[in-house]
Amino acid sequence: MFKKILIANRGEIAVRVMRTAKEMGIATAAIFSDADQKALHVLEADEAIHIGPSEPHESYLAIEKIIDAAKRTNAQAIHPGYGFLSENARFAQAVEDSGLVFIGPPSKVIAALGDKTCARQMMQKSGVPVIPGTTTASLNVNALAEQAGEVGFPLLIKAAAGGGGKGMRIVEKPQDFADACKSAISEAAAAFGNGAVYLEKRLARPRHIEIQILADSHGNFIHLNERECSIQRRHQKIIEETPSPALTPDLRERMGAAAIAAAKAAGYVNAGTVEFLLDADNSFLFLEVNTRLQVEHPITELVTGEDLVRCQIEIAAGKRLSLKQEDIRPRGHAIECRIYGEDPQNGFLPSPGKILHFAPPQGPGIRHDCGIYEGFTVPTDYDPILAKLCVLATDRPQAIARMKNALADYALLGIRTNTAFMHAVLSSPEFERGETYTDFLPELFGSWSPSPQNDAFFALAGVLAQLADFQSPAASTSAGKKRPPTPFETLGPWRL
Amino acid sequence: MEYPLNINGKDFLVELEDKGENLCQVQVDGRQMQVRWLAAGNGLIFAQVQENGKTRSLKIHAAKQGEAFEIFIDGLARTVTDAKLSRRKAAGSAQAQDTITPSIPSTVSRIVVEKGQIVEKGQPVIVLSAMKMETTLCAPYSGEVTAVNVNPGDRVGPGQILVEIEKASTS
Repeated sequence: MFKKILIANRGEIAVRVMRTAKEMGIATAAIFSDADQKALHVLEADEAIHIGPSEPHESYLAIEKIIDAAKRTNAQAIHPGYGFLSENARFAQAVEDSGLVFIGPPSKVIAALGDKTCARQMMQKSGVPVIPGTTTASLNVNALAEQAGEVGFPLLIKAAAGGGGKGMRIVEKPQDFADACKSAISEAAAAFGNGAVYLEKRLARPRHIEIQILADSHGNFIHLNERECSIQRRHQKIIEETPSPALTPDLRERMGAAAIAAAKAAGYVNAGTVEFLLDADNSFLFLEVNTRLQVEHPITELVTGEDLVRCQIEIAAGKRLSLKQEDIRPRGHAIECRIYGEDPQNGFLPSPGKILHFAPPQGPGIRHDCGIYEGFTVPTDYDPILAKLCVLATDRPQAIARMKNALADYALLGIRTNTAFMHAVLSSPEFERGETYTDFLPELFGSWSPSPQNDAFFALAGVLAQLADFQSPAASTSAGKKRPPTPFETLGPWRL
Repeated sequence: MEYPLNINGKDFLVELEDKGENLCQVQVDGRQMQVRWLAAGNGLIFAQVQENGKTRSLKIHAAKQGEAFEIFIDGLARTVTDAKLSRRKAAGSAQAQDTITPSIPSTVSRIVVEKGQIVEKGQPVIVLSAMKMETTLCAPYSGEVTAVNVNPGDRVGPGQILVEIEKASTS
């Protein structure tokens, strides 16, 4: 087993990977940029290497600097986390070439699955149902327009090298096709250096359902059931759950088998996720393979009791999977809410800044994967994800109730978060009935704002806070602990 | 004691009569409440509010932010300011709305106009990016672009005037 690994990431995921490494007796090395000198992942690591300016291209995306940091710290393997370089085949290749181990799939597998049309062809050949559309990418608008007629409207234009909604367009009518196609090609060219696009039929009200898979380097494959991730804002998942309210045991088994067929077709090794769309008539269609640890992996860990990061590290070290398919017996219902530093009252604008007060919820069945602390200043340079709040409960209604309590208890001051918004989503009758689909938020919560009905309590609270003489964190540290006692501390016994 | 406060642009007058032993009589927004409260460490207050014969408990998290308090109750965070202070601030920010400046530290993605160009009110002028999200700042009024003070890739902050526009005299 490795003695030391380097984590090529930041924030909550870097901290989460370190936690498992520590349990396994593996030392950890962190990397950080100028903006992250006091970040939690730096403080939690056994050692940390400064690798450059805040700009991601000069730090968390700088392949040579990261490999150099791994060499300098004598790390034997690199865990890429999610985002940044996690699905970059050139990075995986560079790690392999430098004699280090990449904790993830082989670079060739990442490259093949990263080309979306290549992945579609691969799946079609191995009998995995794919979304109707084209299987080759093109830059020729006229040829694409001809193909569009065959695919039918509405349709999606997608970048072959794509991801994150870049180079993607929804086209409702044939007359809008040419303009949308041209702008998708130029956007894809700017974002990925490759403007080629392909076409996919747009399904009506699909659910996003993905299957977690594990594969070792000895040809053993298992899946760990599904996660439903239909609650999305701007193509970004914000609430995920498992099991999906839409799957029957039979459908789950067929989707699991399809995911394993997909993984085998790609020669997959390590942890991965096969994403599907589930149509209104319960037919599932291949979307793409994510060749990394997913943001939402904790809910699978909660219901299965397995540690996916431990599995990843063991597989990367060449071990055989100790789990068999029949060992995977999920129990209960888990939900994840992604805590973002953004302000729902202000058009979901990013909300960076100093955290003045932080008291996350506790209690049975609550898991909190967190990359921040009280006093930390959230930088403006990176993704606004601050933490992930997960719950496990006996069944779906109990899990929803537990999550609503946990969100209401997620006290964070100084910057704004999306917790009240997610609370409203979980409280909606549509969500309670499990009627979720990928356009759920734009259709039902497009113009959401918090109800002002309790403002009188906030006013009361403002006065009580003045009376209690709370100091800002900066003031209380500079004044030291020897300030005169507040009226509160000198008051007599207190009873209700 | 009277406390004029402001939350999200709305004024509230809180009248509080201290009854001793952490008990007070409070009038706010036309509502009468009897409140018993306890500060449980820096930043946390428990309060029991009796209103119309009903009692509910509030768990209040609070932190001082400059002259204002950041307050968290039941999953929602708000800023509570002194009403007099917030009126002065509002006057200041009305002026700020007339300038092209970011609300948070950002990086310049694209500049959509050039010097000498005539722009209409509401026309996109500059695209900024912060925390991987793009925001577009638009012309606050119609006029001529007299200066573009930044370049794509520049890191910019609140208060910094990115693009200057001379107001058209007839609009």
